[in-house]
Amino acid sequence: MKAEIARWLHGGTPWIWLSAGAVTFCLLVTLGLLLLLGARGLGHFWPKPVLEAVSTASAPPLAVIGEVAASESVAGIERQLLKLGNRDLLDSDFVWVVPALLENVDYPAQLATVERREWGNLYGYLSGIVQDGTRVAEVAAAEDHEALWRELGQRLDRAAELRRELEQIERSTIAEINSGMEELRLRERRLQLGGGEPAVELRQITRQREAFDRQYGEIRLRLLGLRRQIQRDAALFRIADGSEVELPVADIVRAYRPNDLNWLQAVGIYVERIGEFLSAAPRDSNIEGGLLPAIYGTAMMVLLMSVIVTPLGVVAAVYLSEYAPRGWFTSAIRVAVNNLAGVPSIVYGMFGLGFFIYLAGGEIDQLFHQEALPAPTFGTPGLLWASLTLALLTLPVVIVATEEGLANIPASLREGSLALGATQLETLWRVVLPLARPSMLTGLILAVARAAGEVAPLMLVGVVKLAPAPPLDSEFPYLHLDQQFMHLGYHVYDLAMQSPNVEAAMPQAFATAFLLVAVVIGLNLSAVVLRDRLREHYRAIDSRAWT
Amino acid sequence: MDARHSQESTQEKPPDPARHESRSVMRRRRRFWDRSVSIVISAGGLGVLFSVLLISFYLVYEVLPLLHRADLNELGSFTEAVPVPALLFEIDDVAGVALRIEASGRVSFHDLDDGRLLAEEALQSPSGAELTQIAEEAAGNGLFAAGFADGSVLVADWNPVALRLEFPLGSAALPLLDGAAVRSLALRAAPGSVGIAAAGIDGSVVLLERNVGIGPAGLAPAARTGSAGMRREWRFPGLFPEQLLLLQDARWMLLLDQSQELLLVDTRSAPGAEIVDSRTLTGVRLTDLRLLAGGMSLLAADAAGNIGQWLVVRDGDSAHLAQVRRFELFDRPVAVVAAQRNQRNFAALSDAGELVLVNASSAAEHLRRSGVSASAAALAPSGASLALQDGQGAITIWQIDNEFADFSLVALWAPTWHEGYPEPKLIWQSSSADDAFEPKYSLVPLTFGTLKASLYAMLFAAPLALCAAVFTGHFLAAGLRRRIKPLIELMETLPTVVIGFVAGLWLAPLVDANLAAIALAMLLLPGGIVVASLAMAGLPERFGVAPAHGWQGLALAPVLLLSGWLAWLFAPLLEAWLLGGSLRDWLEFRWGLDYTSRNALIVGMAMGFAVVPVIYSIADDAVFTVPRRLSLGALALGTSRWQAFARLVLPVAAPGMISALMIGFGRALGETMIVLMATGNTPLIDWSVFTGMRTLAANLAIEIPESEPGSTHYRILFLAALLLLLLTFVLNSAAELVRQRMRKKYRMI
Repeated sequence: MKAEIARWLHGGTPWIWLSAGAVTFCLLVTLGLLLLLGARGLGHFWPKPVLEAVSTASAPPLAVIGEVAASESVAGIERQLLKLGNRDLLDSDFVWVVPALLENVDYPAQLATVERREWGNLYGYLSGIVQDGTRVAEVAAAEDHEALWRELGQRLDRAAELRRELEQIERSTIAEINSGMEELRLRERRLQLGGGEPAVELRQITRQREAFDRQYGEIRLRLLGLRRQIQRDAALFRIADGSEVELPVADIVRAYRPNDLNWLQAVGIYVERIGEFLSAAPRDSNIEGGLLPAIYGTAMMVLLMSVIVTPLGVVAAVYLSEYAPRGWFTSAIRVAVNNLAGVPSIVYGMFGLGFFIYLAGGEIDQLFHQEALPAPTFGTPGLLWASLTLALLTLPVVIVATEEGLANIPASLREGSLALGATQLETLWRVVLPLARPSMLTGLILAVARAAGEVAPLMLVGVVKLAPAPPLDSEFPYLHLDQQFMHLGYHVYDLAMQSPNVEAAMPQAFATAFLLVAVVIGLNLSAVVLRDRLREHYRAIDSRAWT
Repeated sequence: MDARHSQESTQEKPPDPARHESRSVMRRRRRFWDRSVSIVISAGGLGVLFSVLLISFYLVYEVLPLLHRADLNELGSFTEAVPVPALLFEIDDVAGVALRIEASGRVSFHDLDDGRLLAEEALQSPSGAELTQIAEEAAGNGLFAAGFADGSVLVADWNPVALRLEFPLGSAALPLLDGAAVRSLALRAAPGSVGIAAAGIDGSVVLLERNVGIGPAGLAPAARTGSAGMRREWRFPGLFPEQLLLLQDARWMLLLDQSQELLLVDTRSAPGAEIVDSRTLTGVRLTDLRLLAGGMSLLAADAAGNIGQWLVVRDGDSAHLAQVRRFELFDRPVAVVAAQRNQRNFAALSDAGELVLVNASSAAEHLRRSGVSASAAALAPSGASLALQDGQGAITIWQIDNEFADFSLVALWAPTWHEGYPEPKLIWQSSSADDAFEPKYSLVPLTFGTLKASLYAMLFAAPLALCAAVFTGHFLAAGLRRRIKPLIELMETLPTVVIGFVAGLWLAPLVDANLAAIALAMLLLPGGIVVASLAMAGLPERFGVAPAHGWQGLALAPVLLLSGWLAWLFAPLLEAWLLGGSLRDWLEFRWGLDYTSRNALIVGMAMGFAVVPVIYSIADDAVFTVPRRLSLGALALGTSRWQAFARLVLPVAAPGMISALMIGFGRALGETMIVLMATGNTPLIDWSVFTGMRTLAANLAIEIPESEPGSTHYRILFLAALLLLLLTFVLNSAAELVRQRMRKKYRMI
């Protein structure tokens, strides 16, 4: 036995096992990370049961209502983080409790979770409905609950209808007037800069401005009316300490009784919340609501970047692979390009900020947007500069992938084409590039994946925590290259590091991180699959050429 | 060639000139397109490649102005009608006005361009007493105090736009000394209070402090209604102060006695214990004493041509004067010193007409010019203009081009003695709300932080990645490798902001609460694997001979999970049993280790996780491409698989693995988001695994958005970016070189 172990040690078997362990460990950690993100990110949307209990930890026992947000054991003692909500009414909306010190723990069926437009969730019992300051419905008997909730549902629908109308007016009509006014201001300024006395035009501008003012006055009246209507209803909730709070129905996003949901209803709410996450704007300082502007901003930036990087990268790769003379110069360039792939992304951000924004942007403003100065138009971080910076950052990725594809095309094909009398251009255009198309696509997908996950350079060249308007809208010139935008990666950073209420922001941060990881990994997997298929394809062509 | 020839000749048999022509046109067109596209692609390709290289050129372009030598140009000169020496001589180059106050009390405002007299008035005490002394305030607010023969003092401020004097403390003179003429005077305005010190010809010293609001534009209006303030009076027997200075917030008073004795007085101490330090400067006569901007440090110019910079250094309860720097400027006595009011620059002139411009905090001499004579000098608050007046009354205005005076290559890397510190230190502290703030640009803490973070990351990543590469590259069956490798490489695609987020907000608190479990897991995980392998070796032959070579190697997952769970379970017990408490407390109390939640351990794990796939991918290729023949031959001769690998494959693959490590290290150096989110970003110099750091990259992300374009700070940040670029470039190039060598070696094998 002893000799056997000595042989076993001497033969180095433990080392092999350890190295196998390293692989397993890496895979486990990756899997664990993905599971963590998935569980925390997707679990966030599931309606959680709300408990009611009396906490005996404090001197007069305190009634609490809340969700269990997390639990951990410190030095052998189990403790739970209770999300109490009601941020506007309580000192802190999260509290650590020890389950052993909670008495009368109960999950009452009538307990409601109310998602609000501001101040996060409210937990309590629906106890009545108020219309124009007078109580119109309340709970007297057990069956009244259902009637009350139905009533609330109807009033919620009415408020939602009115809100849609309001938003419609605010978004289109008011925005139109504002941009018209701004246009007039710039025109006036331009005339002043131009000198002279263009009195006719100035009079015209004044007339138009008056027309806008009139229009604005009318719309304001309508808005006021709508706002008054939407404020008509309020719901009454009895919260943990027994007091009753009045909540305008217009401030409610969603209200449900989580302890009373059947499986199907829970799934319904889950799907609805995920839908909101993907299709609504953020609210409550990004902690709640959706990600649409961030998804949209990321997509716009990546799209614009692709438009810039693809032709540049392909031309450079074609030059390197097909046209460049073989020699030290070309290999030096190749080394430089490879090296650039390893340059820290923040350095690209510095370049973008200094060169694109301050130098090029400042120059553009001087030449074309003088009337808007000193407020910079292009001399400030924005979509165009972010896309350009990331295009530069991902250029090596596209060049390397495309070049690899070009190099992998069997020489027999190229030689065959040339031997049939085609020029180099014709060979390139008809034979080489069509074959290399998938590898270009691979490069582009890798570049997009890299760009979607990159945050550090964007922080310098155009990303913001809350964009006032999307970069693409119905206002001329439709695509606003100078506008700042939101980005999924930066959204994670912002929620995690700059949120005033980190506990409350964590679920949203996890959900955003999960979405980002899903997008990036999806893109990468498709690139890997594409590349693998491509290799098989070439091998097939090559073997056919030889047989 | 032949084929084409024959083809052409066969086709040319039916002579068709029109068709022939169109063919030649077509051929010409084809050739034209071929040529022009080839030119376009070459030009475009080269253009793209060079524009990519533009990055490094641009960074250099932003950094170069820092190295620019200072320059001095004469703008113009003019002569006063009556050459009278000035008690106060100041310029403001924004308004283009010079102010002179003569001993007679005549105040004159001059145009900086041509010397024209713009306005004049008389400075007198309300009681009509004669002007005896003027003292300027050291911070950039234009205040000065005028002392009179009847012992009263006026605090004034000059308005370069309205061309008149203003009296923020009221135009009534403050009766400081009881009738004795003011012999020396000092004024210090700190936020919230004004201190005025005066020494009379009778040897009495009086300090008056008033609590007043001080805004950015000087004294706030509230100053007028300020209370009478606190007045203290001293008499130091046998002392006749020739010069007085107030330092910091008038806490310290400095007296220069007739006998060249320098005394430091603590104005807040109990009576009798005021003098905390005294120095007798023997052998050399002081020619000028002046405060630098900010009012913290003192410049003492002497007759031997040197200027010493002195600070009040506090050690516990006591304090002493310490000379932090000594500028050996001239062979001749220093005649005039003029300090800039909002930066730590000063101009000094020798009596032989030599002029130097010096930045005190970086101890850098920026300019030297001879043949300039002057009896008075004034440096504009911006530091861009210098006015010199010579004995004949001629005033010369010079333009100074010295925008980056507070930059010095030495101060970037060497310990520098900053104001408010007891010794020279390496500090990065770039900005503050306060105007009188001395920026501290040492890249050492940042570079140190970068190296620390990267090294801890490598400590975590290198063993994991190399072991994993060895396994998949050599031991794992090739078919399985094709599946496993992309999975590990998938780690690389995870956005670093997500890794940083999980590390900073999930892992950090977890490690915080379970430090012992993490430490134990580091022992138990490899231990568990070894035990498991031993157990399997003991199994009957058909289960356990070479189980690690196929998917069985991955069967370790339960073992790892079990070991981790055991660590989790037993760590608290072990802690309680061995250390009698938690590991963290033990480290803190027994060893005095500071523990911050977001520390190098977290960064090491998170960034290590991010660079594992980088290292792994290259190292795996290096191992895999070693020709199989080598190990197969050895196996045939009877070695074990590990022996064949360690003795034959490893030496061949080692350069490739080293280059993988270099590239991984380069990636870690420049990583921004993980460090930004998983550390506290405090610029410390401390190797402890339980404290944080600030890296170059994170510093860029934090500071560049708030930096003013074109300023010293902005350009130093670009220098940091250039440094990062160079570091990664060198590492990557070296790695590439090693790899190319390796490929050559393979070909020989």
